[in-house]
Amino acid sequence: MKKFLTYCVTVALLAAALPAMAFRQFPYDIPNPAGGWIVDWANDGTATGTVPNFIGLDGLAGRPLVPAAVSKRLAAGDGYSKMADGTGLYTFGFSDGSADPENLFMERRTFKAELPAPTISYYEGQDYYLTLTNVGMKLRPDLFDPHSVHFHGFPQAAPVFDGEPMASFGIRMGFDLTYYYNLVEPGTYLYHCHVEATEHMEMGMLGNLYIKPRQDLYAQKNLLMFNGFNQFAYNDCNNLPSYKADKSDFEAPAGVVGGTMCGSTGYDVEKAIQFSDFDAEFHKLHIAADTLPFADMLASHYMLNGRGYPDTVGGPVTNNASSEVGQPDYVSQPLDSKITANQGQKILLRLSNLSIQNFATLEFNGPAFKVVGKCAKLLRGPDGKDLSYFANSVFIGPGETFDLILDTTGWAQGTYYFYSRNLNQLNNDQMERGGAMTEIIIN
Amino acid sequence: MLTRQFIKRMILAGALLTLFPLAQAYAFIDGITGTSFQFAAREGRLSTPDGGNLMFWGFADITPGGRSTVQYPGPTLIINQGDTVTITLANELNEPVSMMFPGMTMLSSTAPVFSKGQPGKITSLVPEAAPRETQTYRFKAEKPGTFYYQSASNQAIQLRMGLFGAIVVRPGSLGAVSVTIPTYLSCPPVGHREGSGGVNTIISAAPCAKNFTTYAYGHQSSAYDREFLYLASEMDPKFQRWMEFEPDKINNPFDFSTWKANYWFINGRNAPDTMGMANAMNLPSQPYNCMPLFHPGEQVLIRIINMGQDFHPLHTHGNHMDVIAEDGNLLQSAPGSGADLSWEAFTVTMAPGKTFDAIFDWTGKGLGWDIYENTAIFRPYEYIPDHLKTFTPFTSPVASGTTPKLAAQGLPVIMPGIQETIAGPNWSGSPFLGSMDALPPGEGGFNPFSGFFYMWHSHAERELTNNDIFPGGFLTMAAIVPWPATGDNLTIYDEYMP
Repeated sequence: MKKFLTYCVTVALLAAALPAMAFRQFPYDIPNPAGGWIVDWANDGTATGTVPNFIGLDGLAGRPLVPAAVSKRLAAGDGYSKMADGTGLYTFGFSDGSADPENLFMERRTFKAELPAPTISYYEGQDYYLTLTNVGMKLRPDLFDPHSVHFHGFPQAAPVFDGEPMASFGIRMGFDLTYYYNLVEPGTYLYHCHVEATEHMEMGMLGNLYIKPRQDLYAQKNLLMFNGFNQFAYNDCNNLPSYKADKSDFEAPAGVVGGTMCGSTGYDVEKAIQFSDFDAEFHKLHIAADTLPFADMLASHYMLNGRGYPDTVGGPVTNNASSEVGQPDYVSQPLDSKITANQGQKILLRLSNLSIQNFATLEFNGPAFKVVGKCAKLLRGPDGKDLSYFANSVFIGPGETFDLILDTTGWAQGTYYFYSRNLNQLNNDQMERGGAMTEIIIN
Repeated sequence: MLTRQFIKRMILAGALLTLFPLAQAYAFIDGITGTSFQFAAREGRLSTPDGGNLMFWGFADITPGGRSTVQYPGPTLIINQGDTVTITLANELNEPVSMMFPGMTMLSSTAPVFSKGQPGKITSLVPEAAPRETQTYRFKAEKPGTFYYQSASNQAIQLRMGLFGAIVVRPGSLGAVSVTIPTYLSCPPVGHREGSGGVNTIISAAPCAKNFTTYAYGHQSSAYDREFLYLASEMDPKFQRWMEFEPDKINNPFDFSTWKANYWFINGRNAPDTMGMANAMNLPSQPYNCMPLFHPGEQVLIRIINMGQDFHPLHTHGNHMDVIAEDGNLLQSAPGSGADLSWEAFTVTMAPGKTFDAIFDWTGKGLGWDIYENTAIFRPYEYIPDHLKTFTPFTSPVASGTTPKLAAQGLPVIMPGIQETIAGPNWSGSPFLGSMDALPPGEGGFNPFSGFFYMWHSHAERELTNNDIFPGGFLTMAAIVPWPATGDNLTIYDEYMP
């Protein structure tokens, strides 16, 4: 009996100790005199509280107010997605709980997996604290899978923040893990959970991730336009100065900020589009707690930003979880892929592929576009040679990204299509004229 | 990124070429050297990590003194630019076999073979060896680079069965080429020897310069310290079993429209065997492993070949690759300009039958924290601005009105407790390079040097399985081994030796 009591006390102590270990981390949070914390990161992209403003921007005269450090808190768990043919599929995924108070986090974030995961987009030079909380898989209580975030393509990465679980670790249910990234290189990346990658990625733990270049802030702060733009896919001007060490401002440029290619990646309208696919059978076997069929995998639903056409151009998709499993419906696929621009504007398409088995040739039925970036790098040779090229389609493999600039000057008004030319990818399972397709509307 | 800097410097600073006598390049990639070889085409059996085994057809090096066992893939030929190479192929299979060498200048006949001499019924692109007979091939290796050989007969079957292998053609000597190391990196001591066998040397401090003596191509922009082969292939076990067990192949043909790979190989092995020892006793017909080990700051040449029929997106964790060559051609705008058309990628699509050469390096530049924590001395190629940086992260938000910050530490965040994580076999327990820390019970243990490990794998994640079993397949771990205090802890064969 005494032994048992000791055991109970130990378990109770451990249980009491463990929640205290779980916490989100952002060094700019400040204690609230009324109790708890004033979280600085409640509103991404605005500096409140103690975060220093980035490069001394004042938020006036159309100049943005950008904090030097940003944070986000993602929950990793399960949920349901609704395919364009109405099929509900069990998924794993992330959702953004940055604004949720600690005591309501689990309640609000359990069973809220989104497809794709919340988009991560920041500026070059920002310090980024990403807290990941594993809220568990509500409909698979037999599973005790950890989760992670792999910042795919992050240059000079260290294993501790890479999220690849063989070289580091995943976070168990009910706990938090904070990743730190010094966002040194702009470009289009992607992110996903790397734990049991084949399964977790097929289940939908995929998201858009891109870093805007410091050239945006340099132009906006100094009220400059390069080639008529003040936002760009990459740093494409010569002599663009770096930040000062404390990031309060830019260093003085070593020469004229310009050059023949300066502003060549400028754009008016930006859209990140991620190609992915689901094998419905895999998801059905998963929720049935059956053996997973890796060998027989065959995608049935092809998607852009987690939806098949025509959902790609519609409003937020609410899933049909309640009819399937008695859980409340929620918006499971908030991102559309519809692009709207005015004649003469330039569109930046940030393309990525996170299928776990399929390549795609994504084709555009209008005039040629310019491919300016690949794998989060401006297409330039080591001595500055321009390696960008014009094309009407891109062949994109799993884990690759491309940056396309569509210059709509002289285009007729109307609806254009951006779609997979792989004919088997233009359906939502048995539903024809769907799949990996979206619209570009030129007004 | 050092690689980009490095290629730029190499292109711009060709004039810095200093001439030192150069010894014959080392055979860093496991393979056979010479100009005259005897090969046999044979049936063999390979092991898969799920406990299975499959019949394959492969080449064996039966040159006197050679390994003489049939292997998957065939022996890697390591030859020199300008060599005239003779290969005599003895066919021990029951159907005609041949060898072709894309990219080489053929000196022997290239006449195709037609079934019963009928035009249109082609059976081989080049002359064949009939069963139990021989055929001799001669070619000249005009250009350096990464190439392959394969059977030109009945390719739908013979390539799926494994009749292929890699060819590495080494360039003529360029002498030693001096490259300056970027000033944001700490300089190793003068005389510091780097690369496989310590062939490259730091020759000056401030501005720090290193002499390279090893190149992939006849230009300084292809210089490297260590090189590794990534030869991809795949198998459908249904097909392999049909080949082995179907007694009446004429009346019960294999339906190739149903062919679907379920085993994926790097250098003839599936993960985790890819990370086993080279020439392992338990894998007699799969002698080649694939586990890149290298030090921070070293230039790593990855020779990429796809001998399968599917596309594979090769993703390198840790950093971008600089793709400097395609199909054995340096990506240059003009002869002598160097790899000025090279491009960077975190994922390279390996198309069937294509080869790429890419250079990878890693220093941890720009991480924002010191990978060596509070080590006062500078380690070779350490990123200077992050040296001894500290942070004061918060602890748990438990009390109001307090500032519960920790003492300064080297990592910007507090690590989760070990009971909160599930760690992998290559995790040292510490986020810092060369350090180790507590691990969850029974976890870790495959990181004797406390290095940084990176998965280099197919990003078509279905390929990370061995016939339905995860993990496996097209996956290996590359490891950054901390520099030892003196000398080198990686042998000339790039194996760790404390």
